[in-house]
Amino acid sequence: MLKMIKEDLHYNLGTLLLGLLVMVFNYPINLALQLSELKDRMDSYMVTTEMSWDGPSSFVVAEKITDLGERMTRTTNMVLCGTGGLLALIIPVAAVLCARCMFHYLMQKSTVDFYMSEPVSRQKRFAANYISGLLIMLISLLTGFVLCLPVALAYGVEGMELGTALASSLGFMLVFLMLYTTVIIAILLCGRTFAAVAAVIVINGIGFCVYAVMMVFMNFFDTYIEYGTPIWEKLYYTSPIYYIFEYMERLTPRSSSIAVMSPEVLRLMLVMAGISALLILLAVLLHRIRPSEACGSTLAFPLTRRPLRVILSIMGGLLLSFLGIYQSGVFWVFFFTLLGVVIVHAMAEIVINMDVRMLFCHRIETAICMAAAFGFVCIFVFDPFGYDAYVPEASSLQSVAISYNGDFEERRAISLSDYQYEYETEHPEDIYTTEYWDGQPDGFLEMAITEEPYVDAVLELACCGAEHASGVNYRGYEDYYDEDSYLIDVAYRLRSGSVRYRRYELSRAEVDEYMPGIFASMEYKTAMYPILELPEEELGLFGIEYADDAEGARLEAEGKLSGKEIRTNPYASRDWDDFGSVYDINEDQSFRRELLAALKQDISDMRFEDYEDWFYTVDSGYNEETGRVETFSDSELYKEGDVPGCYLIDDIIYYIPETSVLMADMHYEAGDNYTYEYRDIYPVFDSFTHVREVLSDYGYVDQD
Amino acid sequence: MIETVSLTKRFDDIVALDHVTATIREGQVFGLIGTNGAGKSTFLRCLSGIYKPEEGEVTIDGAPVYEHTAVKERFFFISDDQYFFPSATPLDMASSYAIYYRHFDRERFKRLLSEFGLDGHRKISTFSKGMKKQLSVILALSAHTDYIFCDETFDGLDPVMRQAVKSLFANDMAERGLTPVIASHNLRELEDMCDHVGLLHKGGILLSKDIDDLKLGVHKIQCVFASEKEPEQIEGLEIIKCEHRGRLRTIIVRGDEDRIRALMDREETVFYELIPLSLEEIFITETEVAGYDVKKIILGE
Repeated sequence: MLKMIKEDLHYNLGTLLLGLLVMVFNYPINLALQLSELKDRMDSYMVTTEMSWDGPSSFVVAEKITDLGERMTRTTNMVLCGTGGLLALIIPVAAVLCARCMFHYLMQKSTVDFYMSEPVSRQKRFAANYISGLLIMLISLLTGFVLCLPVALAYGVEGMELGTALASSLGFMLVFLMLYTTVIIAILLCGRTFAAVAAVIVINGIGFCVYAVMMVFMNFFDTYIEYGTPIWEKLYYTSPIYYIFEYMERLTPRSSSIAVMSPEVLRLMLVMAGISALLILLAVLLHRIRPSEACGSTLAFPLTRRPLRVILSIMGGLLLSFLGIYQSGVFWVFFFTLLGVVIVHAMAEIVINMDVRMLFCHRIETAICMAAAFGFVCIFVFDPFGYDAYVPEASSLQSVAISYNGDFEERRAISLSDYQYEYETEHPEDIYTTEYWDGQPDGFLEMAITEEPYVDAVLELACCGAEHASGVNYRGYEDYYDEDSYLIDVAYRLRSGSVRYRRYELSRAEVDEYMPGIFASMEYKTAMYPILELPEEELGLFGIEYADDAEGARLEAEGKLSGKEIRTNPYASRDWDDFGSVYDINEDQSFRRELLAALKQDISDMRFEDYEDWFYTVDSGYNEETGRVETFSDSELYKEGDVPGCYLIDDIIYYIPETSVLMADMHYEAGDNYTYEYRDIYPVFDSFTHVREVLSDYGYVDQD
Repeated sequence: MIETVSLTKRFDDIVALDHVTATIREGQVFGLIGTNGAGKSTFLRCLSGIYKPEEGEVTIDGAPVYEHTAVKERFFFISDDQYFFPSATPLDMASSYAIYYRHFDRERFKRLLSEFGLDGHRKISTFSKGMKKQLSVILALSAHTDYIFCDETFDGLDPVMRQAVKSLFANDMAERGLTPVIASHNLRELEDMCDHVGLLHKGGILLSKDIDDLKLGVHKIQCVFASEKEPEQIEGLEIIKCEHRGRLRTIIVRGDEDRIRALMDREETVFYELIPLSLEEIFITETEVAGYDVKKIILGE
């Protein structure tokens, strides 16, 4: 066996040298380039240090030098871990190259004669070839890895995390193993190079295609809404190439470029090892049973021809139907589906038989594929199984949940249960701050309405929505929802344990009819406003947002403001920072306690009408003269004209309620190089009399 | 001894070998003749364990060939489409074969290379087609296997080289009982090399006989009878085929030479002579009897 491996490596020396060259560029040369730049910067500081080593400047310079030293260590660790180079790109290419070098002999008659007539068992031949290909990658990677060490030492780098780097590299080798074995399987399944290339694409792409088809076709259902991870999203995991991205993402969490061998990563490595083992077993089996005469044929196993034709043609038809969907017409959807089936089936015939005359040689099969694709599309277009009409029996329900703020994209800023997620990454020299809104409606996902009257109210609303939805089939892509309709998401948690989600479209009158009854449920409110159940001792940092814009500062400087004015920033531009800063009231325990109690009381007392007053009465537009988004409304509240609280950011309109005090429940989570800040935002509504009273008692003035 | 029993190999709808039953005894040169597409290469690939037959089996001394490395070590297959490693020299190939064939004789390999005038250090990719075939034969002989399967190996070799290979085969057959199995579509090229010939046509064996038996058992008589007598009237003469051109009769008969002479001596002839048949003529005659037009089968005429 060793001699065979040696022979394989000998005759694939070119590939090995190429691998070594690439890895030397990826590891030591890459590291040397990065370290030399940092070293130059450090040297320039050293010069500065010598020239002005006194006073505070020397401290700053010394700190910068220390920071640069840390950056060099971090850079070294990044390169060693494989996250600081092009390893994610190199691995798929290497997998294809190694597999091609070692198993290409299966594609040619002369080489099949040569290898298969030799007195060596197929298993042994497979093992020798397989290990040789693996060794090419391993030797290249390890050489690059090891050569990094003298480079790092030459630059005086300390604190290298070799254990993590080796473990991380092992993970990359597992990814390689999966991809390499996949390419081998593709070669074993085919008898021609181009067919093997196509097979690699099909194996890696079929999961994505099914996912895309399901995602698009599920939207034919008017009540379809996606929460959590749909089962077809897991189809990504059938694609070996996906594991590169998955591994990289888990290895370097939260935009960090340094590998972290978390339990999550180790779990993924175990999964990849398991999948690799299964793939290797499959490859061994295929190699054993693969007929030698397969070379020259498109598909090595005649049995695979029919299923492949059927799968590819149906999938091709469904993918081509997307053209019809964008044409917004049921006819076109069916037309492109059937056309796609015919085209792909004919192409498959030509490729498999390598004969253009075989274009339609299985007409019945083509017809069956067309019928199957047609049937699939019918299921989604005509909904014969009543997906949209589905409303469960009350007796089969464990609980229900409802989300009125279905359109999170536009209204998340005032969605009380949403939370803002913010983090800062501090590098020695720069501070990167990223701030964004987490759109996950946690309140909805955690909500469990079990009390009978409220469950019934939700079901009544659902029946109304289902009636609308089931009366509509396919409405086309552009006019999917009416502008004047309201979207309401409902989750049915069944006694069987499964959860089903639906999105209903209701008119204003229907919302006003059903929602007040549901809004009165404390189970609903508790889920939507988590602060209701928050014990005082668990309250984190507590603050009140105030205006700190230029206008506010000017007024304060002129003595026109006391400094305790609270308002949302009426002069907000397009920057989140203008939303104001936060008064830190955490020192005043009684104020904190009273404010929390008042907030709980006001939220508990809040009616749907209170909530709605400022919610849906606003219309807005961008005023070029003032350079602001202005609101226009029928509501008395907004008739005054310039209404603060409506902001256009990246072309998305964000609403902040007028006369609101923004309070935040903040707590921090610090990591090595980052800080997280979570904020739950609770605006103060007109009806929040208790809160306003407490604020007034403590001297805060509501400017709005 | 190699035995194939009801050997059947199909490629989709094409039946390449159709229940072929044949025996190849040790110590003889077995020639496998047939037109292109007759199934010769498929037969050899089945013998070599490259192809797995759909039906029937191939055994060497009772042991099945497919996926049995010990059995596969007993033969060397020279494909019609020879493969050499890219950039390899003859010596590199010898090193490679030495890994798989335990009895590979490097000294003999070098000696044969020298005798054939091939440079062991020259890249094989620069060799001519004939030189590559010579190299394949040298590698096969150096592997010291009991059997050598040659697929169209001698087609295109010049007569001198063929003679050289023939003598090498003869030498190994005498010394260690080598059994070469040679497939060719050209009967004339095999005639002076083979002891036993099998005719393969459309996946089946039409004929399989020792050449000596064929030659001894069939004779051609050219004669001119003194009277108007027809050859069929000669009692005891087993006529296979009879042609006449004017008064000259050409009769192909089956039987012992002495007996035929004795029968002809009794007849009144202006002259007669017994001419040895070429292998081609024997095949044509024998297979025509079996109802096949061998001129089309073998010669493509």
